[in-house]
Amino acid sequence: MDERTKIKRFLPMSETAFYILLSLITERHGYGIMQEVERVTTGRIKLGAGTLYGSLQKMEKEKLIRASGEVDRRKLYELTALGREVLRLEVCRLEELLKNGHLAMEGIV
Amino acid sequence: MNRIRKIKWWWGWNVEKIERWLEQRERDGWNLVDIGSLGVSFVFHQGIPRRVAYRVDYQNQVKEDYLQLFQDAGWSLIGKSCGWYFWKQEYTVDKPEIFTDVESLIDRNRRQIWLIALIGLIQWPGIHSEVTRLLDESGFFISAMLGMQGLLSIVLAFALIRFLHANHRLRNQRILS
Repeated sequence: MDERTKIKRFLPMSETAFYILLSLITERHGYGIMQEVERVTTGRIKLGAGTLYGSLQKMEKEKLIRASGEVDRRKLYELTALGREVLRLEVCRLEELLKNGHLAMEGIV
Repeated sequence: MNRIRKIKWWWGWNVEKIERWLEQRERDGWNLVDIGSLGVSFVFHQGIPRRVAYRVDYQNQVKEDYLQLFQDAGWSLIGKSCGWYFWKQEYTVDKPEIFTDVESLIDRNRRQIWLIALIGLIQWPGIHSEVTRLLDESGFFISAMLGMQGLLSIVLAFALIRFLHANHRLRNQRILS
């Protein structure tokens, strides 16, 4: 499987996955991710511990993120190069949606 | 202090039932203090009515950060039985959740489906050899073994269907995603 096909399997991603990856631009542990996601969405998204645990397992297996250390017995994670690329392409995709959305809405409001 | 032990049966494809039951006991002032090792016997102390969320998770094997993450998020583990984890958290306004998307609920059921399929599969060589032997000679012991395994297979098949059905229902909840 070439790189492009591999990346396409991850897109489009869920809101949960998007915000987890986004928060891992900076190295964080699980609870740090929860707090960051809650902060940037001003409380709209509160990630459940079970949902986050499952997502982190899957993302680590798919090599989108990797364990980068430990602090106070908590495992730290960070994005891999693949994770960064997937995130970048998702942001491009979202930009297109947003652009077309705004363009179409101008006509009706 | 009043203390009672109650036996309550529940099924893995319908954990909401046991979660709601425990939450109602807490609202009635019966505080859960212990869960038996089989996960069906519950010990309560009579105390004050509380708002407590109970959530049940299933994991085949967990890493150390599983417990840490749940504890960081405010959950305490009240019991563990055969891979089932009973989590509780007191709350005031917003009820906390351990799963915040449909996908993770589907995944929890999927872990059970794999386990059932695995147990089912390892039954097969036994059933096969028993049937072959019964064709040659009749024996009470072999017939009894076959009967037991047959019964187990039926129970497993029933559980498998219920889990697959639960996941089918969850998938149908997603309309535009």
